[in-house]
Amino acid sequence: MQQERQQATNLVYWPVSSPKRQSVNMTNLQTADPQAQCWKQHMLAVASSQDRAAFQSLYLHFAPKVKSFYLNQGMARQAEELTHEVFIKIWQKAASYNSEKANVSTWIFTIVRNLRIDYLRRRRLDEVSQDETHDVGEDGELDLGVDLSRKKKQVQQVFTYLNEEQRNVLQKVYFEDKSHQIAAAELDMTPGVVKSRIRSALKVLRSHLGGEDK
Amino acid sequence: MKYHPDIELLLKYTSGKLEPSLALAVGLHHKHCKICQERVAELEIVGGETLESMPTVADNEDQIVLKDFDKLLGAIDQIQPVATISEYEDLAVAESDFDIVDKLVKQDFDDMEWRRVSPKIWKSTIAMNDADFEVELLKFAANAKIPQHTHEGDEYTVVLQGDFSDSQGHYKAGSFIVQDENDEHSPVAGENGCICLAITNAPLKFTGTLGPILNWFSH
Ligand SMILES: [Zn+2]
Repeated sequence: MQQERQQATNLVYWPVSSPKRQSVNMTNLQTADPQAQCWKQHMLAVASSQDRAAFQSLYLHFAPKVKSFYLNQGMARQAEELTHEVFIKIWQKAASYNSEKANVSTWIFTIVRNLRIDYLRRRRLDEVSQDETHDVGEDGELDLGVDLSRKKKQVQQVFTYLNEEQRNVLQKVYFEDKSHQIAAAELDMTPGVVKSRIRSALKVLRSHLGGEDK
Repeated sequence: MKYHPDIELLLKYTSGKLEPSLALAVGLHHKHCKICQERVAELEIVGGETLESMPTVADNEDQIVLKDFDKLLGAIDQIQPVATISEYEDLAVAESDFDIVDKLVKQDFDDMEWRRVSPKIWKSTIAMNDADFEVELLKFAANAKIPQHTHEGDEYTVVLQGDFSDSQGHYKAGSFIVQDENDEHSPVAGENGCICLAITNAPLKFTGTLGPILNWFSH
């Protein structure tokens, strides 16, 4: 456990050339997820003093993930440009990041999501009369080429209500834009099981997620 | 109870998968509703987790990433360091639709073109350029009875100003209501009238030279 933490923090603080060989300079290790805490420090450094080294660490960690995220959604041709835009936004909006409200990964996700929405909206306005379709050809092929190896993640609030299968299915279908068939193949289930996992996951979320209204 | 979007709709909204018109409707509610703000924030954690779980490039690609970073720094030197932040940034709505969101949130209805459809009801069309849905504002005079109507598919309503009631409840500003084609109800506007955003599946329209004929067949 101790060693795991050490590794996690070694990966990320103030790298000069590569994020992988740096010493640790963390002050706050008490939280459940030291790595997430560390990204918060980086974001705050970017916000308060336009710290380019901190920005670079964030970039080295998140840019490839952001790009994969877009690739996974069948946006091979736009992935690079959108990733660039995401980091422009991160830089310009750093001051509005609230570390008490959200993890950096969550905040970046909202930027990634909104730039995707903006892109699709622009395209829709350009081709009002045409149907919204994904580029199946080139993009579809690359989509399948992305390696989907995953590491186990620290369990967070919403996830604690769901079992692993339910979580995986929700991620794939809603956040990675996979069809039931593709999600089924990747998770080694039948499409029928995928559907029933979605139903049960929604049921659990419906009964647990905030508020008095059921 | 139908005051909030169902969790599945919120999931689609949070992950950015809703059609622009529906995103507008859910976004207006999201801006207004503390409960759904919390729900969306929790669902966004799932998005963050998904992002974190994405595969990272192999070591030998680090150089490419660093090259891209240099390009990024170059771009950053050319732009304003701090962007103006819109009060609608948190919504999962296209930035190009912030203007219409702002109009509706601020209840700025004066320069809308209202068509009178009955002595106590007015309509105004909002051009969302969304092929799948029709977006309208409905304005009801005080205590107006809203005639029963049927529609194909679901109808989504967000109360923007005033209130209305039906046998199932009382809907104040911010309420989000979904009715399917089987729902029958006879709502009545409140004492100060009511203005709602209503989104319905647009009837299938065909364009092009064969359009009129195809439209004739589809009715
Ligand atoms: Zn709500």
